[in-house]
Amino acid sequence: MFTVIGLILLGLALYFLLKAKAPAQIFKLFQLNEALHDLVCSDLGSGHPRRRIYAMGVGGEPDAIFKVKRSGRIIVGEFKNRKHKGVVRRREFYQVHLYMGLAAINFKTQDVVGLLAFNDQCIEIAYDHELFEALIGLRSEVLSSMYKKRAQDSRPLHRRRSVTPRSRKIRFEGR
Amino acid sequence: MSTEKNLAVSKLAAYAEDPVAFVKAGGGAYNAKAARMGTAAHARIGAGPNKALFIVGMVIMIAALLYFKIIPV
Repeated sequence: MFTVIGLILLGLALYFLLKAKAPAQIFKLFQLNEALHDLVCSDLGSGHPRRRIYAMGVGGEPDAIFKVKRSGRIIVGEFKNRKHKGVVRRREFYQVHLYMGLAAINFKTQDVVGLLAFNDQCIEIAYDHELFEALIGLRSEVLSSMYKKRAQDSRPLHRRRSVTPRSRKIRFEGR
Repeated sequence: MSTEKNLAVSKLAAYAEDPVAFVKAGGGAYNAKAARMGTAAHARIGAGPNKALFIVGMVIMIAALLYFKIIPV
């Protein structure tokens, strides 16, 4: 009987150990050192603090937000369940940019950086405030297009203004 | 400020990439199967052990150890 109770206690200890180690997977996904960063919130898995960020009529929940312990820099992490294959989709780039801009407003800092994680790679994205403003500027057009079920302007953003990745590692899919 | 009044980041990003494709998809996912797989992958990362599976595993292991008399009752 004592052996059975012992096994149950051992099982419980193992369960709570594995549960406590779960956030480590999120740090590993974004290639961040757990000792140097705090996980502010995450909607990956379950049991982590959640936080929805919004401003200017746009909102969402990034996959993870980290804070660098020493500098206070905010890192926005977004995961895409695909292989990188050398290209970043523009909508992925825009999504991270919107989250970075919203994080800058919500955390009252301009020291924001984005991480786009794929199944095989993690890419850093520098924040471009002008691009964030251009994206926010599309809000009413999106709502109007959804309401009228017709794009009010069929040109994608990169045909209206220059969209540069500011990193040699980022190459956009398509033209 | 109500979050319901906010436009989702993913929708705005998809529109900025291709307004015509976005409207054609009704503002939803372009590939429903890929979207389901993505949601499942997001749920797996950082989830930790499954409570129900863990309990079932423990019960089966202890029952087997008792049945084969590896541990005394």
